[in-house]
Amino acid sequence: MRNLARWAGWTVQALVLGYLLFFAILRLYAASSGAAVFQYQGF
Amino acid sequence: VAATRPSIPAFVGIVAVVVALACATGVFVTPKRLGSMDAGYLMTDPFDTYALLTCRVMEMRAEGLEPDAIVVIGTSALEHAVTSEADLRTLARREGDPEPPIHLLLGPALTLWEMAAVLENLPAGFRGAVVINVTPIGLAPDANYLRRITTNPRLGFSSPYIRRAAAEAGIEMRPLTGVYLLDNAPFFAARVACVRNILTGPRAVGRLYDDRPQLPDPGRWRRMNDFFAEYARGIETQGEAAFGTLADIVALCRERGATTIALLESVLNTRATDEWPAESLALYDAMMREFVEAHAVERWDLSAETGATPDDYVDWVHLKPGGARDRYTRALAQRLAGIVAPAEFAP
Repeated sequence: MRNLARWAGWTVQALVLGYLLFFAILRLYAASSGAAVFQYQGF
Repeated sequence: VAATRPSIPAFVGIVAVVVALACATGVFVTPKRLGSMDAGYLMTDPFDTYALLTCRVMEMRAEGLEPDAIVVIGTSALEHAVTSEADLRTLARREGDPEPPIHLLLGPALTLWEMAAVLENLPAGFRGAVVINVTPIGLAPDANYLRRITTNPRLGFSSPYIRRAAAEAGIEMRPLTGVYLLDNAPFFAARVACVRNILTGPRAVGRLYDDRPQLPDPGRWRRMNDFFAEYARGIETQGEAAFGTLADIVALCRERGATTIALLESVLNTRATDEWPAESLALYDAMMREFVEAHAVERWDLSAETGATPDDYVDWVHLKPGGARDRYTRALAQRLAGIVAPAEFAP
């Protein structure tokens, strides 16, 4: 049971960190072409 | 216990997993998948209609359009002038016929370049109609606008037309890689908050200005209306180029197969337009008349049928919910009904 909880904890951490890291890389890639990386609304 | 200690193999493992995830995401995020998903999952807030527009265009691209489809491409002014797409379909329906396939493709302050991008991404071969929303202020945006929408693209698909326009204007754009996610990286990178939607469900679409029933304060009104007046004045210097883009749009509509093309004028707040340079508006009108005749397109101005007064607006261009919006919806539906093919003649 303790092992299961530990695995669940690691999985959640990995998913959150993976998501943030993935977006960080994507944002860096987008920003390297000059994008401000916000949703430009218009006027 | 050893597995929890930092080590070189553990670090390599983490990097490998992230790279594998990134590659998997690159393969997973495709136009087809975007077209089949609920757009609400991609929206960062209820007013993120660029995500909605992207998903709808991708859906059309993947599944095709009805042969007699009527595609209406417009801005937030149109979004606030129509009660709903469903109402338009119901009101434009002929007795005994099914509801006509009317599609509203709307995005706040959508430029002519972006409208061309939408058209380029629509499937070819439908024999219906395209209605393009136009305004004197939307037609001739300042020269920096193209730079802004190329560095911070609002739509999640690329456009050869925009790339050509950017090249002509001397704006550098990154070469396309062929990987959809990377080619539209700024669009997706701006949507980090979408993860919330996995937990809360897809977002419902809202109307931004319906939540602001008051007119802007006099200071803001003045600042913005001076700004719009300047845009209207731009017709004098950029009108020719803008109507050139409009001509390209008409050509794109015909290329896609559209048999009827209409230019739909936005119904604007006269309190705002009265402060815009009259000679620029007259020039716009003259150029538009000439264009309509030269390109055999229709021009729809619904201001008489709408009968909107300044009190019917939230601001310079957006109608409040209520009488004027209802009248506009009925008037537009009537025009659309006029171009709907009767069921027995439908292709």
